[in-house]
Amino acid sequence: MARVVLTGEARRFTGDVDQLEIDAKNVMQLFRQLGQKFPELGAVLEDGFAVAIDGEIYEDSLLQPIKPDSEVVLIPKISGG
Amino acid sequence: MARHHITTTVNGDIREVLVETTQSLLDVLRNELLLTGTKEGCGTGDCGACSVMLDGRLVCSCLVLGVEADGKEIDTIEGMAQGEELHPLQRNFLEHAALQCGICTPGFLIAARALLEKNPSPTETEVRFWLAGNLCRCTGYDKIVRAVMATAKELRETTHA
Amino acid sequence: MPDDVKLTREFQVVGHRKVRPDGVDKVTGRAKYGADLILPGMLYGKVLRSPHAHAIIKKIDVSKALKLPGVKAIVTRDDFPDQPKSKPPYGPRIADLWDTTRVIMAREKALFEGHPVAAVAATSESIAKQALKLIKVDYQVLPHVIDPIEAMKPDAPILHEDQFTLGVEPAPTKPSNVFRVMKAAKGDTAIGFGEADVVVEREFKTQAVHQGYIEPHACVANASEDGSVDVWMSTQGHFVARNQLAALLGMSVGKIRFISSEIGGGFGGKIPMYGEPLAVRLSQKAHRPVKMVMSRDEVFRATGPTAGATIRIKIGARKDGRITAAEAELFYQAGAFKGAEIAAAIGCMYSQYDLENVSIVGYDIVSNRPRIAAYRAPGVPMAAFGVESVLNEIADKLGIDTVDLRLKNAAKQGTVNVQGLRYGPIGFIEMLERVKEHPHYKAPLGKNQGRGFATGFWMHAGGLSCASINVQDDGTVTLIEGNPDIGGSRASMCAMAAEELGIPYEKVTTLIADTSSLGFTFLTAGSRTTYATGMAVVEATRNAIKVCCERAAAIWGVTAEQVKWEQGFAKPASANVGDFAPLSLSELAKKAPMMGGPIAGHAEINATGQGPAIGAHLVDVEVDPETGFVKPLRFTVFQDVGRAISPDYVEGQMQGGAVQGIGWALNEEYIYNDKGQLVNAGFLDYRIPVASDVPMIDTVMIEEPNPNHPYGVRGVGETPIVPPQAAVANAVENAIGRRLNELPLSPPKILKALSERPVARAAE
Repeated sequence: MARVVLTGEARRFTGDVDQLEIDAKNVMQLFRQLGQKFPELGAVLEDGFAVAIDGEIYEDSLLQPIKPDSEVVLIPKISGG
Repeated sequence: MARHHITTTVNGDIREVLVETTQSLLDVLRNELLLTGTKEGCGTGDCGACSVMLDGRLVCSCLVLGVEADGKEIDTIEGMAQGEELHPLQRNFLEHAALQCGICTPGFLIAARALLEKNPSPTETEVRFWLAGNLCRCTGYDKIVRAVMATAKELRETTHA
Repeated sequence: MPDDVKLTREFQVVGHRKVRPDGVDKVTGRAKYGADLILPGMLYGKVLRSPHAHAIIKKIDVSKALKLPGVKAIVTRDDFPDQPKSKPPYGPRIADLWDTTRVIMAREKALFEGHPVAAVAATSESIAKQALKLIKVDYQVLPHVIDPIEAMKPDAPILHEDQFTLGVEPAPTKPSNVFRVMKAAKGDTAIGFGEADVVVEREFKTQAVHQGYIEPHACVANASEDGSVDVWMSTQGHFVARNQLAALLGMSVGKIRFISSEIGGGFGGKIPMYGEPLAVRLSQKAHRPVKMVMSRDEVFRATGPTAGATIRIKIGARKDGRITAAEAELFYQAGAFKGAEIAAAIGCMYSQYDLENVSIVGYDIVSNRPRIAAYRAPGVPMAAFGVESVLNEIADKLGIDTVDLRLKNAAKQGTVNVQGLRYGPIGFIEMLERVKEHPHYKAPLGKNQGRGFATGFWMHAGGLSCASINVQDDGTVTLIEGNPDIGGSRASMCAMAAEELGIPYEKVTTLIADTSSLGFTFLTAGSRTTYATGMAVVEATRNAIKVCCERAAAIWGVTAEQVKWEQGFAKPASANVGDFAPLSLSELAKKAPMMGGPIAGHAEINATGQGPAIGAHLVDVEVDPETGFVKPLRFTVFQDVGRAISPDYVEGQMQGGAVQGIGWALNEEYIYNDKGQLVNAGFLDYRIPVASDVPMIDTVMIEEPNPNHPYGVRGVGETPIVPPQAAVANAVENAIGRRLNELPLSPPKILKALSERPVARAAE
């Protein structure tokens, strides 16, 4: 089960939950399951968030694999100028 | 608006053109003569992107009226290279990477050439103050100043050779 | 991407100083920028703008203007469909269409001075300008507000009656100018401050500053009666622009073709669209091409600067220099529509440090000025100004060297930041040690001189890039990519393709595709171009090499696995494959038509794997005690660049960003009158640095390759604008003995600080 860390903006939607275990093989499955648990978070995940899987950042990468022992952090998407 | 017929020499070519009273020389070069190498950055003489030579004098063409060009000689960036051969300033700007987006480059080249024709041995401070009328937002001026100093050195050495 | 062999071997092309392929055209005036396109029958477009900072637009009467001879079309809000609000309003790249359609053309209200209200296309610029004067607009002027702190007050004029602050519990019932509050926290700052031997709490203020690109926005729209349109545009992202235009005008993406002109600077400010939808609509109505070019005045009044901000910083540290707690409150000005870059500030402002207890709260506040646009590391420089100033003060109070203070708290591999991101290798400690070793660090200072130091953290973007490579009969190669070239990126793409192929740099030509000729490519922004598009170029080139090897295999009667590519030649992979003479790229290309078709490769990727981009700045200044003028004397920029594909242009990014930061620190600000109108909308009074203001900018490029990129590239463009403001402010403090916390540090402020100095120090 991957360990999902929720900080800052993501935490707003999950109340006190700052960590949870999710069984997901890729980012798309992770987002789906998070959305089932927290529908308000689910509505903003694809557009608003990137994930860091074991320290590597992935944006717009729904097919990116997640290992059973991965640590996944939700972070706001990165913009630039 | 009535237009005035003017005759002017641009980069050695005699050109006749119809000019509105309120058109600047910059407008005339770009919109009437289709010489778009000279750029408009501000229209108020603050950025130097429109620099040209008017009868041998460095001017902001946005501050000169088109009608004032009648009977005069204008040198723009399009006339700087001699056929195939780039002017040493143009060459050194490329070698020293003295441009990033390049929009200010024509103005700098015209202004720098005017400097070196007047003062073949400028110090770094003299280069910086002469070029203070040309704005660049990309480079921070470092490589531009180096390119001008290198050209000055190269021209001095060629003259003495 | 596999293959880390490339990180260690000697390169033939990459890393060498090469002349850029677009260079000759740029030094001869031949290169065509946004305003340089001239089409037969072309009309000139001009925009009528609100003179009021906040007003209801009751009626617009264009009838007299339409009758002026030479006027061919006029557009107002009635020519643009309204758009839904983005639901929910989230994500930095979600262009909320409801907002965007109002940015390009006001609807119910004018929300800033300069807000477009109507646009005209006519046969000459002077006729278009005359026509604007004939348009009658009925305004009901409303009270306005500009400063973000003022805009938060309960009695402030409200810009959007349906905006209720997000991120606040319980959900508010009164509309507010605060769009949302964002928070991030780690550990417990109350405990942390309890453990501190020194706590410094300061408030800082920065003004809105403009990106200051020398080329004003420009486009030419050419609509056809078949429903399609071509748009020539100076832009940082023509694919994004195309998609946005389709949404704004209700057109299909396939009917729109954006062509990127050469671009005269952007820095983030040429990501948004302004005049393009107006020019397209005018062209559709007039049935002729329409050129629309902004004046410098319009650029200042109506395009997005970066946010002005109030920043409150509180940091506590132990005697030994270890930071025990760090807090921040950020109040950022979004302009007339939401979207201040709070998330980026939260993600970067403390992120180069290994901190246990952090708490950041940020407010995204609207007010009556143009909506902000990104400006090079958007959202971070203001916050960094506060953080790096306070750290300097803490170092002073503890009697610790300012670089040593950073070393004591430097992030390293395994550090977790406030967002929960755990770092891989990060070369911050090595960079700080390089600073201490540098001759600038210990050079003697003279009278009225001071030295300042600051560091900065930025996380650059990856994203979508496509590339296509075609091998011509004679072995030359054409590379097609989709990023407008702001700073020499074509040179880097040529270099990477040439390196992969093992052919000379001069044999590669790189073109920027229009939006119909290549797959979607994301912006030239976010320090992503060399990184992400470079990855796509490398992958496309490797695919072309695969085809070459297959062709060679067919010629030799072996399998493709038995062929290797080396230095521009297909060779047998080992001696026992057979004794075949190597086949060059041009030999294979000549044979290609008879062996299945031309040789090509392409790639469509979403680049990921980017890492932190960190920098440090050291600056010496001299303060003139009579005039208050601050002159930077010496400036050194340190940055981890991963791998410098084109070293000249990497240096250029470091130098350019530093000088923009000097302007931000010393001169630049927006000045308004009491009607909310900009009084310094030109380069004379909005003073960016000129050549005589600054010294040579020395650069130290540290190469700690990013293993996720085939050439180890890290994005470099934005980081250099993060440290300079604090570095300059710290240098000024070192010179005059007084701390100034409000930017810009203009002469009147310096003189006031000098007059408040204790006499003993003034006599030094």
